[in-house]
Amino acid sequence: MNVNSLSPNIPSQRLSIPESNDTPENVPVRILIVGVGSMFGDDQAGWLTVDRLNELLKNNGGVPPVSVTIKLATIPLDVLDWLSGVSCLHVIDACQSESAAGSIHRIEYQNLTDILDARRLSFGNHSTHDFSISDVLKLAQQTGKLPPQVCIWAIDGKHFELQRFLSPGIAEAIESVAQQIHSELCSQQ
Amino acid sequence: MKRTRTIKVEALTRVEGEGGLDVVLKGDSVEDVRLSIYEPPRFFEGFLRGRPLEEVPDITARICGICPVAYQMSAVHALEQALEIQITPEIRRMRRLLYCGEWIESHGLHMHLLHAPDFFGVASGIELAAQFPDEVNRGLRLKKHGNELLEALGGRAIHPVNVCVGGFYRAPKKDELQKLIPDFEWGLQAAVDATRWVATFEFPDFVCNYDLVSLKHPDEYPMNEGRIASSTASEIAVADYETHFTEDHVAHSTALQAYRTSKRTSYHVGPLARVNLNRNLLSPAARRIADEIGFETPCHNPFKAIIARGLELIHAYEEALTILKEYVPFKPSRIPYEYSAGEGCAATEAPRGLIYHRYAVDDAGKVQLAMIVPPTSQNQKQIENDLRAWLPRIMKQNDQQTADDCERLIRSYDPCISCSTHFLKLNIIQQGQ
Repeated sequence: MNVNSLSPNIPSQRLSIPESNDTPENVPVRILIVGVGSMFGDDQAGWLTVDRLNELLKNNGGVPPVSVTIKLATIPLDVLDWLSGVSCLHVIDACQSESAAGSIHRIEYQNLTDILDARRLSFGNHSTHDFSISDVLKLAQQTGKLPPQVCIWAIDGKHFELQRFLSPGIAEAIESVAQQIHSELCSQQ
Repeated sequence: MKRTRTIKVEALTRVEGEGGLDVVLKGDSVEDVRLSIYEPPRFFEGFLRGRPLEEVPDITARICGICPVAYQMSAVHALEQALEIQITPEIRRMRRLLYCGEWIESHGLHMHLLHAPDFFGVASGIELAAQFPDEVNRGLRLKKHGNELLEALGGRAIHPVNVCVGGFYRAPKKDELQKLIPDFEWGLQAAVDATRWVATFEFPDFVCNYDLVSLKHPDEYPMNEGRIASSTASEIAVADYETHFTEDHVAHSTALQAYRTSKRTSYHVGPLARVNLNRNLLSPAARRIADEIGFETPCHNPFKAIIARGLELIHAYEEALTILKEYVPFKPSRIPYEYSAGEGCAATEAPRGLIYHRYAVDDAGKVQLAMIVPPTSQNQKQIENDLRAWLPRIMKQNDQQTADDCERLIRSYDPCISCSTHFLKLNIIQQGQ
């Protein structure tokens, strides 16, 4: 098992720019876990979840027997460059929907479009500056880069201003998502 | 009685920012065209006042995530003029390199993912990828190259932080730039392929009688400096910009609209204007490809701006490669200065056209006045005029198709609405006094 953790082990509410997280080229990647986020309030959720997942894997005294790479992204398009050889992708990002802050949406890629519509769920970035993670995954599919198994974990946020603090319910959601992904990784032993 | 049709595009897609379009047709005549910019005002010119001049490049960069370099370059050149700072040739060269990075990321993205879908009847770059996965992947890779150059030289891929009044906070190490060379060599060929590809598109036979306006420099393709040239008027100094061009409020837009002062006429800025006025200064590869694909100037077809972007993409790669290969870390990375009261202006070439800044500073280094004229403000009136000419050709279609064709014309300008929003000037008229 190889955990290629590239984010520092920072406790919750980090409000910092991610460290460089290039993957060594000789490491085969099978499971890729990406936390998408920014320094803007609840948009830290993706980063904080993978930080917490790192803690859980280290505290486990060991790591799952599959190759796992964990990365942080600020620019969703970067994810496209990390997909080569990946068989299973987990993406964690903050979202906005009709649900309350801290709600968790676990979305299999094949259901993505339907769920975005049904729950009026959005990952933001309605601009030409960048693409949302949902658009990036659609691009990956169209260009033949999408891994066979893709799971999107969306955490409803409320405040996306430049601030350290998280809205009520977000920290609990982060813990829950990290625990669920950890369990899924461990179940693959 | 003639039937009145109102065609509304509530929200323009694949453009940066929030804007819409209202068209009123009466019978066969176009009654009204309003490019409505409803994005909220952003107050940059107002809140720069009183701030230290050192903050201006980083604050103005925040106006846009896709053309922050244009704001930084225009700001530092204007402030350096105000402070009478002379930068070194090395700093000047690195500023051109930074601008190359911005043109590469902006043009690469717009050509492949934002504009090309219009020529294949699909709604987005994502849909286009189903037909042209290799081309879309190429566009994404070109955009990434531009962002990587911005990161290496500017410290960040978006909103660079290394630009300062007087130069750069830090000169990059040699290997930080040299490691980009293999990708940029690939990118130059990819830019050539991209330009050949877009040149094969089917373009509407539509030309406008443009007043094309761009910077012009005697020795180089315009980026950071030059005089303001026009296809219809004499060249002027940048210092005379406000004499010849005026910005005005219109009721339907939070963005100011610019026009040529003397005749209150619209004008066109952007890659099409630059290539028309500076074709002989394009890099050798760009000139060669322009000849090969038969890109004739003058070209006044707005839809062919995608070809002009391609030629500039080639130019930006070729110039960037030259600078990258010859790069030696330089000292000083910035020129020291002392505060003195003064005023300065500058114009540079953003990916989507000429951008003008003017600042006044006091002897404590605080900004007293800021004026920012982005390219999309200058193109707004021209876009409306283009649509008036374009609509009689397309209005026999149903409303949705007519609206779609209007959007296609607007997108050929690669408008950045976020950049162009201003707060409406408030005039209080008190009656009865």
